[in-house]
Amino acid sequence: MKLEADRVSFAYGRGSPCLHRVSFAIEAREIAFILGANGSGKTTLLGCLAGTRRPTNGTVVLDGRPLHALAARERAKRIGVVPQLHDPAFPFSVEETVGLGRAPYVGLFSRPSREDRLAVERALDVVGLTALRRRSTMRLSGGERQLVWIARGLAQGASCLLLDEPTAHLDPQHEHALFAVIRRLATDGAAFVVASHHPGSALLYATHVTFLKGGAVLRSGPPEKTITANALRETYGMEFVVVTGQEGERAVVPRICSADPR
Amino acid sequence: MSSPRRRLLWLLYALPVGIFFATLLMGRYGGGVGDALRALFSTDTSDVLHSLILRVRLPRALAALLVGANLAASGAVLQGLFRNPLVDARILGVSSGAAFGASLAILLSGSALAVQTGAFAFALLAMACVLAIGWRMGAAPLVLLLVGIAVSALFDSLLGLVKVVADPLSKLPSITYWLLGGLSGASWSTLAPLAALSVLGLGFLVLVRWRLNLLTLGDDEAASLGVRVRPLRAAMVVAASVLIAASVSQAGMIGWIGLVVPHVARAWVGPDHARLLPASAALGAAILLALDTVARTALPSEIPLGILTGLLGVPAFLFLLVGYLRARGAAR
Repeated sequence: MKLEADRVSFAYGRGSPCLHRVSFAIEAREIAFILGANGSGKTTLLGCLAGTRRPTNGTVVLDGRPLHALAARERAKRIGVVPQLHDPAFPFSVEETVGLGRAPYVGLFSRPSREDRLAVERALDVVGLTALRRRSTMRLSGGERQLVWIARGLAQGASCLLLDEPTAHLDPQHEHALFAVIRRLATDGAAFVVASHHPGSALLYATHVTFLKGGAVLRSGPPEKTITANALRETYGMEFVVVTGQEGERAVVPRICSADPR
Repeated sequence: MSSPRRRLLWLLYALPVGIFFATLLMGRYGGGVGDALRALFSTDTSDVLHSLILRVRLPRALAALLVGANLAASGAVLQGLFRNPLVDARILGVSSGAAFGASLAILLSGSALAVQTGAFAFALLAMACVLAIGWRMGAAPLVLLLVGIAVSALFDSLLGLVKVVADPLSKLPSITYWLLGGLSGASWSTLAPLAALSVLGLGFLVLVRWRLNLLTLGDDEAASLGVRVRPLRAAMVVAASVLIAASVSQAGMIGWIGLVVPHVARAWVGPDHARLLPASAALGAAILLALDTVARTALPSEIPLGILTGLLGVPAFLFLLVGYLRARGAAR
């Protein structure tokens, strides 16, 4: 699996472009973080990579074929999206929500088959949600909800999952638990693109990092080389320190001066 | 599906069938149930009660079943499509269009056929306006909702105009009575178009009912699952509107069924539209048939059906609302 964006630009309607000649690539077993300030184009880039937004310029290519040459169903069998906000209008159960991932395999006038139900069971098993299968997604914790949507992507058969700020509402323990699942799935061959506000998480979990600023790529590469105080200052417009602990663990800490408002 | 839910679903399917046979035996004319039962199976074609059951009660009961099923099923579909549990038939302007069309037909002609045709034609015209304008603006649920409110208001104003120019002694009471809703005009001849349109609309919606779950996710998320959102949504809006138009043109303005019944059904069988749509249709059919039986038998003169659905629907809605708020409080 290889998903590539080649000099992709995108504008909403007739507005000014919010992505400008962005190039990006991800392969199987990688966890690629997209970091950037609010409004830097992270979600739009995910939309282009998912094929739900068509670039105004440039191309997105999946395994050598332009994404828009693929039928929507074929695309959905390969790429899954975990949206930023899970705001179900109705209290679907975990099982029903994951079952929606089978949409590309279910005919217009059909309902999920036995094979589809088995795929849902497997996906629930992989993320460890089998025990909660009948619970409403509205009654889950934030971390469990993220796992439900990841399971939906797995039920979809997607080999590449795009996650939009998956840890926005998670405490450190749940964040770590989520990334433990993501790492395990990546080891098994899946690819993950994670749009995030947390450079510290990228240091811990990413295999590749891309910084976006104003819709353009500021820099990209392996996290240990890319996440530097300079890159963070340029991206977020404030000072950071990248610290290394006694056992080599690294963390990003904002540098707050005494003159700054607290 | 868990077996209690499956059993409940079968119970819901059996409910309208049971009420259907019971209501044929109930009415102001004739003696008790025994007489009606005898008359139903009588071979004497001159038997007045036999003829009454076959020519009046039977088509009326079938019409009540269809109208109830249509309004409840379209309510469930629209609530799903618009991701909004407070949506019902009135939201797309279809009901207002029908009300104007029927009133105009009463003003100009007054024949039952003209009223039914006028109501149906203007209901579809209202839907076409909403879709045509909404489509140009992207056909997002909120856009369709807002355009629907505008088109609805336009036809309400036109209805007001018809009422102002209608003869207050003959035409205006007819218009008012029609707007209150009822099935006293149901006959085999008015049933035929209602049945044909119901089979078409309900048939389509039943076939695509699982995919309705996908449209409740929102456009981008549904598209990421390979769904062609706009054509599917438009097809469902058209099917739901045809059901509403066919029902309103037969029965006048029947409120609350499309809003409340899907909520009750959702509480019983869950939010999956694969179960919810048939459950809503069955429950809507049962409730409307039961209410129509009350409407034609409770008082010496007929009670308009729209009044009864309101009297039952409003407390039911408030009861559901309290339950919903309590459940949310508990979930938090």
